Amino acid sequence: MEGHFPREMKSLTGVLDMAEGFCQAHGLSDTDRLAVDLMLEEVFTNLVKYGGDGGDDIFVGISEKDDDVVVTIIDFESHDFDPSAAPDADVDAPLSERTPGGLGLHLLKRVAHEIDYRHDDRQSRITLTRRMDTVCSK
Amino acid sequence: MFEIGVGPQGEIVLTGRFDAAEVERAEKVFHNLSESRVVDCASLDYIASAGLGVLLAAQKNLRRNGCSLRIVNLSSHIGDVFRFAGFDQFFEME
Repeated sequence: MEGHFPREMKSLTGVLDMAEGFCQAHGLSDTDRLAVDLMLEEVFTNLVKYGGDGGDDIFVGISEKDDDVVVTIIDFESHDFDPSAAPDADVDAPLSERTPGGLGLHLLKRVAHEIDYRHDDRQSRITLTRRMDTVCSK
Repeated sequence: MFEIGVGPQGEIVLTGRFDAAEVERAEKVFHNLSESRVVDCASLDYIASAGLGVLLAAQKNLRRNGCSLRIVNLSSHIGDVFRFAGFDQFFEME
């Protein structure tokens, strides 16, 4: 399944609806469904929030390969930003030192087993792979 | 679909998919809290970092007044997201 979605937060509903259709059609477990949704939301919202001068649309694709779910997100006219290189949030910090935000890419790295990032000619391609029915750890 | 409501005991009931597009609606409820509340997640299907941020901000605000949120009826996979974020350190979860 794939589609082009306008670069705006309200597109997220359409992105996650597409994911729901994919997960139902392929009989994914609740854990894998949550992981697919998290991978999509955390990357898509990051591109919407921080890629304001990018292209109008963002490409989102979901596919199954062997026992893997593969999520592909392509941002056109984008900055070079590798989500796999983002530092982890300090989740051991006490509540007084925690701030809302900064958790998205941390969560992404907990549920995606592979994050492949390519940036060529102002186009970012992020490929996320999750091996189904496996447990990721903190 | 996402719904946020108040149950018969005053608990906050979250239902459906709490994604980034629903943050503004949830903030209207959580930002105005001034006393301890239970958050019932029995019907919560999904939460991501944006939703966790709303809960974190509310917990920080309430703790300043000696109050807190207590998260109940978490499914195992939603509970994993809370634990990945380190929320088990400052939320009572069951």
